[in-house]
Amino acid sequence: MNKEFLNGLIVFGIGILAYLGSSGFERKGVAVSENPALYPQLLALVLCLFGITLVVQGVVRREASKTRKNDEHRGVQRTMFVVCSLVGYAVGIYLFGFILPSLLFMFIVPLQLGASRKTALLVSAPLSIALYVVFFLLFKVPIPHGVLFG
Amino acid sequence: MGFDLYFVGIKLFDGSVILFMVLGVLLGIIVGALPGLTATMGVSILVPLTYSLSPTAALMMLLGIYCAANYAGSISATLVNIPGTPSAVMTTLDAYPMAQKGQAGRAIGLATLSSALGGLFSVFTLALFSPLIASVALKFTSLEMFLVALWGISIMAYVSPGSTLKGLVSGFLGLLLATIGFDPLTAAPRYTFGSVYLSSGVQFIAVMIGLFGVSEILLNIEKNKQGTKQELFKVEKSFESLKEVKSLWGTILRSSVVGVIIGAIPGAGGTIASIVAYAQQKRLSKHPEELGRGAPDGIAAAESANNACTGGAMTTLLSLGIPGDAVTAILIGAFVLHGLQPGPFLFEKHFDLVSAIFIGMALINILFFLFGMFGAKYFARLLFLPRAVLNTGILSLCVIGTYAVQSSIFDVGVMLVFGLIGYLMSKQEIPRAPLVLGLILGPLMEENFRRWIGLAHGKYVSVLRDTYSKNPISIVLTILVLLTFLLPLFQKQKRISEDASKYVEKETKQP
Repeated sequence: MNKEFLNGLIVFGIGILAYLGSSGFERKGVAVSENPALYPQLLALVLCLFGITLVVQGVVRREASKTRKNDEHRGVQRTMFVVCSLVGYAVGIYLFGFILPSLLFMFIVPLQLGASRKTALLVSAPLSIALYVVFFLLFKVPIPHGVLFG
Repeated sequence: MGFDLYFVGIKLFDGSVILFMVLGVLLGIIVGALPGLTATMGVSILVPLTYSLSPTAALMMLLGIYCAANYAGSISATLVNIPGTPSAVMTTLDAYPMAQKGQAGRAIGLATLSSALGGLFSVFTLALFSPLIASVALKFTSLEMFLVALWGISIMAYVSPGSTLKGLVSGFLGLLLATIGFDPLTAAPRYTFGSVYLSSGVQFIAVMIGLFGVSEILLNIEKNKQGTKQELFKVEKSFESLKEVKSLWGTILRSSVVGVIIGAIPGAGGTIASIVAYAQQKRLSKHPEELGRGAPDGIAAAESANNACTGGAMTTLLSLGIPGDAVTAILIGAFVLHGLQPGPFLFEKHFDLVSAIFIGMALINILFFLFGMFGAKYFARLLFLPRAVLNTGILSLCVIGTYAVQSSIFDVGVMLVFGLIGYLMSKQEIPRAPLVLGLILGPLMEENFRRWIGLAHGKYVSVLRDTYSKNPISIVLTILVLLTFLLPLFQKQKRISEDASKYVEKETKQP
């Protein structure tokens, strides 16, 4: 299955879901311009049309999907690790506030990305503190304090 | 308005505005000098930082990042043959060979000077043309406003990398996302699934940081882009390049005009401008064979064009509310964050701020010229930063920055989801910028579309006929939209960006 074909199916699916989803807020018996579903339904139909065109392009071109090389696979693994760490980091700052999860995040992730233990250790604390100072003290922007600490 | 427009903004410049402008320029140079970090990413990540600032200080800081990052891509292009930002790709062709000849200072000096002059020229055109365009746009009917926005999205889809169809898909997904939340006319909740978090719509700053900040870092991590390990050239005698301005003024002026025009086309941006200007220079040069081997006019053409784009992109942003590139699309978010709506009404309601933007952009170009001339050798050391640490720091900045806008962890979730979506879009060669543009222009498009439908009372054909017969602007706009949609069907090779990348490939293969 090539990229265009798959993308087309996804776009078509989004269009169909958006159209069906709009029936929940459709108002019948009012002026056309006052129907909140009118505009999203038009967009959904256009997306369906684009999706079909992509599917047709995919069928016509029939380019085989490339096999993934080893280093590419490692790259994706590295990326997925960072995505998971980011999710953990977001949950961490929600629960425990900014400082502790930031220290951990900025130590573990660089280590996994190839930095030496010394560099990761030396950098995590100053970087966390620098972000705290810049956001909270200099720009007076709110930072999370953690629900567990009120 | 008169000449007041060019001076009244001075009163908005206090100490803090100047301070944040300088900070923005410094951050812009840092972002631009580091390969892998772009102006788009820098501005999107730092928008939340401006939350507590005055609108003038916030915009000056973000414009500082935008203009300075566009310039600073030339630093790494000169010193390590890697463009710091995509728009510096043509600069590498001559700046690096010049550095290899022991003239790195001259190359950086030329790039700095040309960038600043290109930027200043574009500010001049911005100040000259944006009030004129805005005064015309003030007379636009709802149909015309709808068409302008649709044209913006379609042209951005057309010039973005990848197929036009994928660009349009991205733009229309953005428009669909913009419908989430309360309907602006009837207040009916749409696609909220009963969630209070979605009732006010998708937080566009979270989406922008996800699409341009997180996804870009994820792509860097996947490619395992590391900081450079090679020796840097010594940056000396950059001021001597000032003497060359006499012989290069024609090139700089020509390329600046190209930059301004291309900058005003939504989605085209600095990369295409520098490629077109470089190609033009090669055609017009008396010694075309020297371009690509360390020719000063090659550097001047590429750098003046990519910085002149900033004024071009800001012209359509300020006068029509249509951004010229991805960075100005994000700047709309910054305007909205501070309760402002770019477009023709900005000239009526916030006359002094528009004036401050003109003055500020001129100052920013002067500031990065000074920083570049005096400090390029120091900024060059940034190239030694360990990339693993830098990427992690930026990711942390993305999380905290998104949280800061509304103190909402839900927004952080949205940002992460769009980070992943942006990453997958890049893998599928679907451009991300049209999605952001669609999300931003969505409410404007829907409002004007439904207003027009309402006014037509079901007699669409007769109202259309009436509009077209009275107003030629409607005809021009309709033709523009149709052309942008239909052009790819009739062209074997539409792509400005594809042509551009082929040109770069050809040029870089030369001995």
